[in-house]
Amino acid sequence: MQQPVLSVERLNVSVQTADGWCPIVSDLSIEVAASETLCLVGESGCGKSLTALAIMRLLPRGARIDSGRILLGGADLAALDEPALRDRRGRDLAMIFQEPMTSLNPVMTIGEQITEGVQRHERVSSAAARTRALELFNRVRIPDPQRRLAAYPHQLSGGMRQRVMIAMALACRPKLLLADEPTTALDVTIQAQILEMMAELRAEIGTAVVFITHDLGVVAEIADRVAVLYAGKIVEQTDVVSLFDNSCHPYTRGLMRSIPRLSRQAGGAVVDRLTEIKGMVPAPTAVPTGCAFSPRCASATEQCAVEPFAEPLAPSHLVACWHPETAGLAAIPGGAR
Amino acid sequence: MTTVLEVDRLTKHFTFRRGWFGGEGAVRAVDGVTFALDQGETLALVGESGCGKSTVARLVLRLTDPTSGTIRLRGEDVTRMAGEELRRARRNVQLVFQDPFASLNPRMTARQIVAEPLINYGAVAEPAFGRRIETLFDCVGLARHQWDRFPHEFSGGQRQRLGIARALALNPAVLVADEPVAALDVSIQAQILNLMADLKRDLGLAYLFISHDLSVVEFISTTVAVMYLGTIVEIASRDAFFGNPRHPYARALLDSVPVTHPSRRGRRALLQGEIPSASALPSGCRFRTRCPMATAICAEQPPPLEEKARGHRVACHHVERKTSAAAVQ
Ligand SMILES: Nc1ncnc2c1ncn2[C@@H]1O[C@H](COP(=O)(O)OP(=O)(O)OP(=O)(O)O)[C@@H](O)[C@H]1O
Ligand SMILES: Nc1ncnc2c1ncn2[C@@H]1O[C@H](COP(=O)(O)OP(=O)(O)OP(=O)(O)O)[C@@H](O)[C@H]1O
Ligand code: SF4
Ligand code: SF4
Ligand SMILES: [Mg+2]
Ligand SMILES: [Mg+2]
Repeated sequence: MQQPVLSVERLNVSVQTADGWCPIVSDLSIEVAASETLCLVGESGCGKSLTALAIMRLLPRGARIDSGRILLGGADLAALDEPALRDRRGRDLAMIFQEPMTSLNPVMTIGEQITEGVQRHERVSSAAARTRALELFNRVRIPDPQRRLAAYPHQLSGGMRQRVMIAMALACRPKLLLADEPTTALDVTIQAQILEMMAELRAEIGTAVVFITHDLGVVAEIADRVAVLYAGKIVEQTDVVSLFDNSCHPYTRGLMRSIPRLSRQAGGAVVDRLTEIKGMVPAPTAVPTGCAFSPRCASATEQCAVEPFAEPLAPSHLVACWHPETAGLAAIPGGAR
Repeated sequence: MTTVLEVDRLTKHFTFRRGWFGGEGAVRAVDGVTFALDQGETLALVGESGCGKSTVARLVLRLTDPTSGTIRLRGEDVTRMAGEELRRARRNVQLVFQDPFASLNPRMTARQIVAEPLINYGAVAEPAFGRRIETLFDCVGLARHQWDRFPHEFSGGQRQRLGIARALALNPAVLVADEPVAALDVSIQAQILNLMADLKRDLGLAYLFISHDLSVVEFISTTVAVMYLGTIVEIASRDAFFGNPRHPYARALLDSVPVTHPSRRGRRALLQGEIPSASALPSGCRFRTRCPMATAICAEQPPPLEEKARGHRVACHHVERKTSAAAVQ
């Protein structure tokens, strides 16, 4: 891989509960290079959003970084103070949220918000900032951009608001873009437009993207590499093709099998039954000791009472499991141990 | 086969004031929807946000009154029923909610939640009462030690099981499920979908299943109806629909589903434009503002929902009838 733009080393995040601080994200390490998209996948509550917010250093009250380094352009974001961070947000790194309404100011026009964002980081006249905003609106294919600049957020549809968010996030050509489920709230036809547009812009600007989703279809569309989280830990991390062809962790494999697929895409007849992963997702306050997946895992043995650590099974294919299913890997040069 | 639910030219318009002096506007949330649901069948309603799916559900459940049209439950016209008569009829159609948590009383135990409809309707007396509860919990796979727990002590998937048990309590003919798995974790969705498929088979239910997820719909449905801005634009058996979608919107919807493997990425004919507002509908065909096939006639006349192949109805001026297409060749 090229020199990473972002490298997160052993990040630990916890949240405050009635019984004290509870670890949510444990020893998370990821790297993303320029023009690359890393997808973070996992069930609800596994810590995806907290990871992104920790990287932005925008964790809410009641959540904190316990340890770890967040290296971006030579600096450790985890060690910067608020003024230094404010200077970098927007310029070096930017974030898109699932629900754009929460991050747009309801009483300012869209145009005012974008020009303000541009002027915070660059010394340009309002006229120049406005021209930039117009350019961006054209790029994210907002029809009738002049009129849209004068609109307030509530006057736009969900898809349009998400485009505005993307335009704002990319206004200063950040090195890193964090996208937290940017299409989950959108309809499929609009989702398809936005994903295509994000892929184009990423290629053009060369931004490194961390894309959070729980939808494996979206992963198949947009990821270069994927990190699968379960209960706050990365259980498998690899390139997107290996993930779909040779996933090794029992949870990842179970997930792949349990999602219904369109027969016209998967080829073949509609299945009568879906393959289930039994049991349920543990609450963060009641994560099983040892391997967190063990109560649901068909391959579990006594050894799984001890926590497995992430090991490379093939070049850049990390799996944290004592009994990975490596049948598919043996055929790959350098694959399996 | 017995038809358990019939809906004929069902319409629901919401009126609102356009500003202070603007006069009345109307949202045509449901605008002339017709379908029939047989025992043992699952009719899936699909379509984008705001197209009227939940409003159809609320009409069928008689939670809101239609502007016009009729609803028949097991042959009986329930459209204008009220009071005790309506209460009796309602036993036959029950709702499974999208968000199981919001729909369960937090101060009642699982057992009380499931027992409530039985008590309200005086449906089952002791000693059969206890057995009925046990059967219902068995059906949905909740164990005995969980009966006295409160909703917050259950996971999302378990809460959805509880919601289904309650919906089944009165032996309804029809279950209306409005996005029943959308709020669940991916690894839990398969459990609930399998459960619903099993229950339908074992209990001879019929489902009106609302979803925007076409992969889920293909798994669970026997018939698919695609809605766009309040109207059905295509309705066909599952296999006919997924094998050969005819309406330009239905095709676009299927093309927009994310791929199942990264090797299948590629340029697709994506729809441009946004969904128009239901209070400012385009003239003629409602899809014409986004339709790649639109011509002049599409702006002039709304296309009727016509049979284009056996049992396959489509509302589009430019979809040919199968028979006539064959005759030309
Ligand atoms: N401010 C907070 N205070 C206390 N707990 C929190 C806070 N924010 C998040 N949590 C908890 O931390 C865990 C991880 O939350 P996070 O939002 O990162 O999940 P997620 O993976 O993004 O889930 P989803 O897919 O539902 O968005 C959850 O159990 C959540 O309840
Ligand atoms: N009580 C109401 N008053 C006014 N308008 C309403 C009301 N309920 C629904 N609508 C409007 O009717 C239309 C259809 O809404 P409905 O909730 O049926 O859509 P839906 O297909 O279920 O969408 P979603 O997928 O987002 O749940 C929308 O334009 C909505 O704004
Ligand atoms: S470590 Fe053991 S329990 Fe965990 S996933 Fe691997 S086999 Fe299953
Ligand atoms: S009637 Fe015209 S606009 Fe409507 S779907 Fe058919 S071709 Fe498109
Ligand atoms: Mg989240
Ligand atoms: Mg709805």
